[in-house]
Amino acid sequence: MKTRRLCLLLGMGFLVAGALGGCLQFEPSAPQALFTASPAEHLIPFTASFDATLSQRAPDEALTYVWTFGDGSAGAGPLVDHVYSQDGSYEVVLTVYDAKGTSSSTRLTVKALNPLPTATFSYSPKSSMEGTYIVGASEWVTFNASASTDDEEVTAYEWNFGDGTYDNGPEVRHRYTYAGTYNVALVVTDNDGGESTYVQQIHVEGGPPCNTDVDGGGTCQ
Amino acid sequence: MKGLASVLVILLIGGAAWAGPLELSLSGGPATTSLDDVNTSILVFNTLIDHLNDTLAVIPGVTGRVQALPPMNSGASFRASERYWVADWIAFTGAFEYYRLSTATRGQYVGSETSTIDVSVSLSTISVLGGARAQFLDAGLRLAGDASFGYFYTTCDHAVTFDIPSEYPDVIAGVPPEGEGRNAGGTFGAQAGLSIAYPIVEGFCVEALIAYRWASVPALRDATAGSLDLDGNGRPESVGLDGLFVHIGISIAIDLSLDGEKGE
Repeated sequence: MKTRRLCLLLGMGFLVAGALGGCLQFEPSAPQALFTASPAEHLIPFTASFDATLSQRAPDEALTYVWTFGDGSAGAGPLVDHVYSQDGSYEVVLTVYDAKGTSSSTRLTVKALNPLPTATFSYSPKSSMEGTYIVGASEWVTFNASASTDDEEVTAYEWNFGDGTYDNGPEVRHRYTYAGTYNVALVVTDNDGGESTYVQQIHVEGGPPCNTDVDGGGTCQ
Repeated sequence: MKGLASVLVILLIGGAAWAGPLELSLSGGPATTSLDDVNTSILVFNTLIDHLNDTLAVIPGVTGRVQALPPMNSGASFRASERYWVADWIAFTGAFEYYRLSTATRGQYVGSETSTIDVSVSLSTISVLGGARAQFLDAGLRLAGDASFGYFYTTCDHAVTFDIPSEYPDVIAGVPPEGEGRNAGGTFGAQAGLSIAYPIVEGFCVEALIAYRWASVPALRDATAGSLDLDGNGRPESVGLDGLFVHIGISIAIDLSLDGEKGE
């Protein structure tokens, strides 16, 4: 009889203990905002897609999704798209609410990138010799960068003529003192601060020997 | 922590020295708890792991899968207690309890680089309780009710590595922060339950206890007073210790009274 009681006691104890471990199901006590962004960084203009279906909620509980896109606009729903047309960093905030009004927020920075300007220039006069364009030493050459482009506006043109001299502006004049090959670099800047560089070789023929001081300012390359 | 445990053990043993008719009891068994916010954080990890598993499985050149974290619903708890019987049917009780539960997962995605997800969380709670036991049936099996009140101190150790492979096509907002640390905090709480004891020989019983614990630690802080925020949502995690536990153990009656009668 004693053994039976002891077995009954231990058996009941282990039965309850075993049942405890397996019978509990946990449910989230509050919603948790999670979302994906695609893409989160792109050249403007672009459409970013946001998906908040990862957000946590209790089973059978509907969530309300509220979005702010960082540019003054807002949206609602688990799946939203938004167009960014101005460059900059935007903080996207998702707030989810459950039926009890409990909320959770998550944020992500979307980078709308400024397209860089395209730099290019032409020069004249020039002549062709054996398939190579040349300009004459001491000859005034006009460099024109008006073909450079940007999605908005090119605001600055900076020239490096490769002989130690510089200038700026969409159209500039320059003359080389000595014969040689020079790398002419043009840097254009747009209204958003984006820069682009274009380099072209200029072949200069004629002119005085390299060791001759001309106008006191020329240098040999 | 070791110092506190030592003091408690000394108090328990010391109490036995001056008390008269008393019982010492040792028991252990499974314990369940809700943990609330901590398990919500584990669901966040698991949601992200499931999402990465599903997304990366269809991306060529990426292999690997990470197992979800088991929720921290149950763990092992141990209890050392003493009872001072002031009458045949009622005793004052003092108890020291230790309760631990943990969860972990580790896995890798291998693509252009190896990305590791390694998350481990463990919670240890010690409690010091004082209360009473009322025995209302002694018919071979002894049935008693048990209630106590005390302080619960919880420590949470956590370590999170969450590398998202570069092949993952989107960007996820709300990924929990990486790092490791230890947070701790305490609160007052109570527990109550029923016990069944079966005397094997005079002064020696096998007993079972089933009880419910009510306690919730509002915030666990680290060394810099920062709150525990496993899921990184900006809200401190509270630790709900509410839950049921079952203990199987032994008790030894030590009669130190001069006349040798329990409950005189």
